Amino acid sequence: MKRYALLWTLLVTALLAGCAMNPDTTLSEEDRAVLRYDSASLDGAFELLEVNRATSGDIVRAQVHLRNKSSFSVDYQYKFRWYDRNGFEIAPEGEPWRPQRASGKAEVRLQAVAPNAAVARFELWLREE
Amino acid sequence: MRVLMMALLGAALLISGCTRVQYGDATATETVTVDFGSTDLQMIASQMVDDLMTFPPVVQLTAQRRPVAFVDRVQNRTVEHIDTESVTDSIRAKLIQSGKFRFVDMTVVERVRQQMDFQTQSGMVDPATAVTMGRQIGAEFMIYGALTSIVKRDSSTKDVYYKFTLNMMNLETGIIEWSSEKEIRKTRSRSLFGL
Repeated sequence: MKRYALLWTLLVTALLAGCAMNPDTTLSEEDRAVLRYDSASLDGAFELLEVNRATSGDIVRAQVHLRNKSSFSVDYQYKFRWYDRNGFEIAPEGEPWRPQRASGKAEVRLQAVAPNAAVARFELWLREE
Repeated sequence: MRVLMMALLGAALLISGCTRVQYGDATATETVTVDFGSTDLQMIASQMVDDLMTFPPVVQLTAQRRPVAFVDRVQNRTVEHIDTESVTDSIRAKLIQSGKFRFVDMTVVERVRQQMDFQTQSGMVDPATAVTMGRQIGAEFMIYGALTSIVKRDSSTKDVYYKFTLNMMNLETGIIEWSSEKEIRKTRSRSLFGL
């Protein structure tokens, strides 16, 4: 009986620890470098949950999953910046700043497609509306 | 009289001193009015190109070759005067930059013909360097579309809904191989004191 109780305790502890784990810990160094802020007032306003990369043919597709940390709505703008393997930004004027609103504690998935096949990495920039 | 002249000169200097010209970010979000603006144009062009380049049949089509297309006009079915050619110009430029498509330009056909006639018939151009007639490549696809809007307003609010539709038709079969829509909603609310 004592052994079962101990096992249950261990199992519940493990489950709770798993639930409490910060999602950021699963992100790689490369993923964490994706999110950038252009406005100091917005710095740290969003939690980076996940970064997805896929290809359509030889074109990179990107999706960044964010959560608004605040309980209030946040009006912001976002823009993907694309870089080639040498670090040169590709078509810097090609992407507009897109206006968006995130409700309090809301999760948003921002997507974009690379302008051409030369893209090696990308960044998601956020700034205040 | 002299005092009046001085006052006028001073006022003119003050007014001209207030004028300032500065460059801004061309990709910044523009919200001066709810009318169709640069941000709408850029978002539409970007969305259309993203959608076209990731549509699976188009990905397959452009995997080994760069099909030739031409852009027909985009009908402006809104009540605003909108230069829809500017939207299609941006879409064409992005598609060319993507390296996936090539384009022929139907808007310059007459000028091209004049230049070719000059090269082949004027006697002023070395025939060895003159371009050969009848070697241009025919377009395989036609890109065309429409921009529509619905405007609603009351005493304090104006709501504008834009819908941009773009299609790509295979000229040989008449089949629309790809189609996409981009919707934009803009609302202007006037505050209580009109500020």
